[in-house]
Amino acid sequence: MKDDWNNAFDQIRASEKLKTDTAAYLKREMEKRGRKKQIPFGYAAALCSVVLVAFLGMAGFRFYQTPVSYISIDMNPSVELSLNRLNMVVGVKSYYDGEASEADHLQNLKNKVYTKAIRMLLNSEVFQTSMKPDSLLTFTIVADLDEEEDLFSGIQTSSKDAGCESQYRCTDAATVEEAQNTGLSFGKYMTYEELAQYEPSLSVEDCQHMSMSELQGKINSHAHGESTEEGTLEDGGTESEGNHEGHGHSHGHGGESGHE
Amino acid sequence: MRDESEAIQAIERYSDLVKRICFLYLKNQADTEDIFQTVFLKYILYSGIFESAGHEKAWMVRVTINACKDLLKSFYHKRMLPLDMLKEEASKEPESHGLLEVVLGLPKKYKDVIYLFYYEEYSAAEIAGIIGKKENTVYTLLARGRAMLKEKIGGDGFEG
Repeated sequence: MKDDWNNAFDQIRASEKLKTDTAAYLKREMEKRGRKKQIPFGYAAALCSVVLVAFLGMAGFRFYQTPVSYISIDMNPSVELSLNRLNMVVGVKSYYDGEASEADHLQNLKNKVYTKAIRMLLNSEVFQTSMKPDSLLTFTIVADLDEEEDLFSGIQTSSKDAGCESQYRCTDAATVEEAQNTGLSFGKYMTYEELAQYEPSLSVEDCQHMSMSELQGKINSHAHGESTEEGTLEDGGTESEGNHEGHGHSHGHGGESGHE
Repeated sequence: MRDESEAIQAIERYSDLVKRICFLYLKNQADTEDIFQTVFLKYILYSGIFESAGHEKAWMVRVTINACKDLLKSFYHKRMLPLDMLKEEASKEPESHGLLEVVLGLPKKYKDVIYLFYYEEYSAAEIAGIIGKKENTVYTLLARGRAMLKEKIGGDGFEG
């Protein structure tokens, strides 16, 4: 059987032309980046001044306002934070019972560093009145791979006194796009997708009124029943050092074992 | 930023891996070239440290899968029929050609877990870490993908 897989996929190889073209492209990119460091000092100083003025002007405003990372904070209600390159909040959207809004009452979170914004949010009346000891607080991140680790760390620190169970995970831009116009935050939509695998008849509308702990409870019930059935068929697996979802303080990226 | 020799070594080590993942997701050579450039550029610009060869490989798998998904979702992406790639890549062995075609015909959420499990020989736990899903979800996807393969190909070789 393994031979069939090897025979099927071994034949798929990158051509020498593809490798050569890629190497040439990378060389051009590295040279471009290297040339940027070789600008004469006087010219560089003048250029820096111009860049600084531009940054303080309209270009700087756009740079500041452009979101590059997103955090979905879900319990019931849900809040999405948009962060710029400086990890400051530039957008806030709330979801409650299927209604998305610009969250006028949460606009004071804008222009705050995300860690402070999360602490303010968790201490707000909106979350405090909804939070119970058995609530589940879920943080979902969409960010560049090299930003995830730092964002996770900041979120975990900011939420450690939340007063209920927390979980942390990542998703991608595709999920954010699919979640738009559903009335769900992308974090809650990700959980809906997971539950829908077990309950195909489940609709988005059904989930809008459910809390994260209710949704996760259903997923756990299904998963516990299925894993008992499937576990004997599977490679028992090694304990992964880098699970991508975590509870409390665990999270990671990539697999750790070598299969070269 | 990594240097040119590291870039060339990475291309030698991972080009086939990246090509296979692109083959699962994409439908034409131009998109594959785009992904190649994107993935290896990210590699040389990545400032993190890889703790092991396995960590580095898992990083490449994840970045490639994410790059393919982002490309497919991009507004300006034009899709072509997959037949041109199949004709270029199809094996001369009927059994292998059948298996390859069947895997390509799986719904996209099963293709990568099936490929990573059966060909790259990652465990379900490792696959969960790479693609960002729960381990139980990966077990479920493997079970359903396996059932589809068994239905189309038959045989008893899909029990794990």
